Amino acid sequence: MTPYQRVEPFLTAVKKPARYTGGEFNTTLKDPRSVDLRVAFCFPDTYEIGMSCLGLRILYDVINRLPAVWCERAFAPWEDMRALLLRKKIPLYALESGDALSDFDVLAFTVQTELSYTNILSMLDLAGLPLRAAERDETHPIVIAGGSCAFHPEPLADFIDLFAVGEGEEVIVELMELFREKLPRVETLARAAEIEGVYVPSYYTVSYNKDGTIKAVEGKPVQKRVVRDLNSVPYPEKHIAVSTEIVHDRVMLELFRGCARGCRFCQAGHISRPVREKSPETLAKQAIAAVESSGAGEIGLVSLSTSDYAGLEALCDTLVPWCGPRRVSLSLPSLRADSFSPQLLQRAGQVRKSGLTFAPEAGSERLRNVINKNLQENDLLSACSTAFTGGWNGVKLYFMLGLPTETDEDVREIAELCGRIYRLSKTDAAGRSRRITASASCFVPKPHTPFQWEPMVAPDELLRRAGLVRGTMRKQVTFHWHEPETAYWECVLSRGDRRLGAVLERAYRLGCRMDGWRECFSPERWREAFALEGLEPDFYALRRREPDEVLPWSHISCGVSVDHLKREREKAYRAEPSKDCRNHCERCGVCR
Amino acid sequence: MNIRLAYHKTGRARFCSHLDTMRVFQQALTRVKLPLRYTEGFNPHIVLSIALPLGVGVESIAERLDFGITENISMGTLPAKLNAALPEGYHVTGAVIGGRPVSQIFYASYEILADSPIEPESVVQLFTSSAVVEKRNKKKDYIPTDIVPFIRDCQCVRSGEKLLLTVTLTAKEPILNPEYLAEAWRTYLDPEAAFTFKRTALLDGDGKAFDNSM
Repeated sequence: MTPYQRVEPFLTAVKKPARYTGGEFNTTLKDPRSVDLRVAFCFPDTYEIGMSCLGLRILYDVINRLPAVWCERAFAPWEDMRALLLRKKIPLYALESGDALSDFDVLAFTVQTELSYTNILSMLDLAGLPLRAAERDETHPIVIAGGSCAFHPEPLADFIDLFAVGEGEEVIVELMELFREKLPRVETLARAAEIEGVYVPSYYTVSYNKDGTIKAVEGKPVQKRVVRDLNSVPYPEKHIAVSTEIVHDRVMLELFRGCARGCRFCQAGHISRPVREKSPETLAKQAIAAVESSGAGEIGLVSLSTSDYAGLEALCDTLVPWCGPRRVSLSLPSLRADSFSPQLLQRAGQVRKSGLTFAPEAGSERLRNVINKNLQENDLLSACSTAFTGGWNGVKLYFMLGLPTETDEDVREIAELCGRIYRLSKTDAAGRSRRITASASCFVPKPHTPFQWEPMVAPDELLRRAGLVRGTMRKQVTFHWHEPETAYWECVLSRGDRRLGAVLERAYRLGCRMDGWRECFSPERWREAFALEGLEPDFYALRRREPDEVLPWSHISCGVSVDHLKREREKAYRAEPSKDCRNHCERCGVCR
Repeated sequence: MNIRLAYHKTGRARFCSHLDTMRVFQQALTRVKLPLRYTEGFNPHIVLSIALPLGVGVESIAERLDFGITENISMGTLPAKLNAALPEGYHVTGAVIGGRPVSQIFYASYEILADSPIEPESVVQLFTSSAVVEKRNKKKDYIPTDIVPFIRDCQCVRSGEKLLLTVTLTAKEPILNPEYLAEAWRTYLDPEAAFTFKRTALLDGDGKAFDNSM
């Protein structure tokens, strides 16, 4: 009996059991006897989050295109299911075959957020595997990880055998071919370390200074992987049609990777450089194939800045007439208010008119220049005006609190800007009410950005600033802000070094899991874990780092040079914007 | 025009909720590219309804689903086409145009398989005298309710290691979910008992098969 068959009789006792059964349309089933390598693609969060991740769908498809390899999926069970598995002593299993994860050759984690780190430990634990790589042997699966957190992987270094840094489509195939040789573990790791983009943490030694900063990291620097031609890499045209509700249930169409804007706070924009577009022809073909294969009702265009995509008009001209009669809706997220036209809006609204979202990020023009958002207030106001006259129900505005150099004046400007947009809605919407929602998240200075040396603003101060916005905000504007406490711990983990491995394990043992979920997150346990390991979380989050300090991610390169980051940081202090790199090269080093 | 489908929902598919099942059929119907009828309005969706929602975890070989079409399609090949487009556990067994109004479904029969060392006679005794459980009413409050008046028919035999309880329950004002029988069993007979459920038939007001043709 497989673990799935053993747990099946009890599944009605857990919430949303369809998350744990597999069997969705378009999943890949293979005969285990016909393959020589079995991979479980592990997503360290719930099914609803994991199945909304394009990266998982792409790599599942890429691996399953290899005839000799079968890739299945595994997700972190919710607390009730976890308790059930533990109570019945049933190991965590993969959804396709229902076989135990411990029987697989490879467990491949995709790590998208620091707050899922404890879920990785939880999944390894539920699989009955030793948490630490050093304690696993030939009888255990090789545990690999990728995703955006692989760019600053040190807190996970003790638990993961190897990281794939950068885009996965090509390196995962190279790794699979290597794993198929079934060499002894040490040999596999040695060979893997030769592959570009692969980071084997056990090959690196880290030494520390007396003050706790890093003295040196010994080992060869790792360069991220980049797919040169996006048109030629596989796309999951056989779109898995989920049987239960997930967060983003749509065919996700990736317009381009990278971002030419260079917003100084944005990690995604830096680690995904250079800009590479997919052709509108390829995209239209892939979208239609994915919708027809799955019966999906929505196509979402994804990228870091949809309206910057050169082929957007051509793509919409193909997709809109195709989607309309089929009742397939097309969503255009990540619009920039300054490269956004009524025609574009017209296209987006042809099928369904939902809300529009803009991200000014900061209230004042000065602060927007600091972060290089380069958005003029007039552009934002005219974009909102277009939305209101065009019959949209409302606009959502995203801001950040705690950006470097932020003053109370900048904070109050958030409320004033929203007020001006509200007045605009009164005049432009012909008397009908338009909902304006503003939300503020807390800025986390992320690795590989010009702000990587900056301290995070302390949670108490962030709360005060959120109160300041709320106090000055018009009551007709709905204002939400994110909990600074979660941002703080995200910051600690993203900027942490290898010593956090012990803290992570301690935190997991103390019961930290599902840290990204408000109902599970416990900062007290995290504080306790730090205290027990004799480390100070503020050291990682709230300390301004020296420009010459060896950062825990110094040996991992996303292609953007440190000199460029330093130059950008200096410009930030002068509130001096940088240009869009398509028009003016800032020599960030990615294109070489 | 409406099409009535008869289908089975078994195996892993039994864990799909009522709403999830609607989603599964919406997707499958779209994949087959039928001339589907959509609702008007802001969020158009396929005109689709399932008779007598099935509880999560309950298998069924007696499901009925209606959906709207805008032009005639062949009924003969429809089940095979849909089966190729449905995920594991769903199996369409028949399709007709129209069909008897689902308001004429009054009862549903179930097979409940129990892992429990109880004597079959005690089970029949419980479900023919009085069994009070906390039952949810329309206002979603839980009220102590005797479920026996809603059990039309009840038989219990030993089947190998397990007990097979065959029951016919009211399926209309009030609908009795077979899970309540399990709850009564756990309350009055055996707190450790484990159950599987299968809906086997839909009946009309006279206790006859709701639609013999399907």
